[in-house]
Amino acid sequence: MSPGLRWGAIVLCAVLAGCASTAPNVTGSESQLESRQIQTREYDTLDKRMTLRSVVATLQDLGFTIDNADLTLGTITATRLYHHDKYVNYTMRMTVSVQEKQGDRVSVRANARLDENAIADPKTYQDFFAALDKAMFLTLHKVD
Amino acid sequence: MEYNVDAIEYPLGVLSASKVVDADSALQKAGAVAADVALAILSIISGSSPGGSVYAGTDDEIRLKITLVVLPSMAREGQHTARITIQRILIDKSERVKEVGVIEDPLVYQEVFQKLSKSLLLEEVAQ
Repeated sequence: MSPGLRWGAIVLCAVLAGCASTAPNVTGSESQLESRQIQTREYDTLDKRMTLRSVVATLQDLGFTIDNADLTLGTITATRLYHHDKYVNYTMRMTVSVQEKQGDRVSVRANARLDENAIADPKTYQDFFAALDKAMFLTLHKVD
Repeated sequence: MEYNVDAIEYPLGVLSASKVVDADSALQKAGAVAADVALAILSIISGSSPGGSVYAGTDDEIRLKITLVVLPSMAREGQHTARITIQRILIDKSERVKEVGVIEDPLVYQEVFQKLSKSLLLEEVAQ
C-alpha cells in the first residue's frame, strides 16, 4: 500500500469512528457489590413506615421535591435542581428504597444521578445518610 | 392555587403537584424588542451580523413543582403537620432552561399556608 493510500485509510477510519454512535450504558458501569456498600445503610430503630417518613423529611430538608412515593414497595424518587449560572443548571435525581429485614431491621438504599451521570462518589451518600440519621433520631423522639 | 396533581401516596401523606405560569413582563419584552431593533439597525450600518436576539433570552414561563407532606403530628395528638417544598424552572422565549432552584422566600410559603388554612376552614364549614 502506498503511503498516501495508507494515510487516507487512517483518516477515513478516524472519521468513521467519530461518526459511530456510542452504545448507551444500559447496565451501569460500577461494581454491583461496591455500589451497594456505598449506597446502603441498615437501621434497627424505626419500622418501614416511620423510616420512609424520615426519608421524605430528609429529602425535603435537602431541597428535593418528591416525584413518586410508594409505601408498599418502599420507594421514593425525588428531584433537586441546582442553579450554577445563567443557562447552567443541574438536576439531581435520587431514588431511596426501604426494605424490611429480619430482626426488626430496615435497609435503606439511596441511588443518585446528576444529569446523565450516576453518582459514585461515596461522599454524596455519606452526606445523605448523615442527614437521614438526624431525621431518624428526630422521628424516634417524636419531633415533627 | 391552580396546580395539577401529579402523584399522591396517601399512606405516606405525600402529594406532588405542578403548574406552568407566565413569566412574561411587558416592560422586559418591550425593552428586548427595542434592543433587537437597535442591534439590527447597528448591524445594517456596520454591515456585520446582528448576532443573537435579546428577545429570545427574555423570560417566557415558570414551571413550578410543589411537594406537600401532611402527616399526623407525632408531638401533638389529634393534630397534623404540613410541610411544603417548591421548585421553579425558568424558561426563556427560545424554550431554554434559564434558571432553576428551590423557592426559599418565606413569604411564598406563608401565602401557601394561608390558602391551605382557608381551604381547611371551608372544608370544615361544608361538613
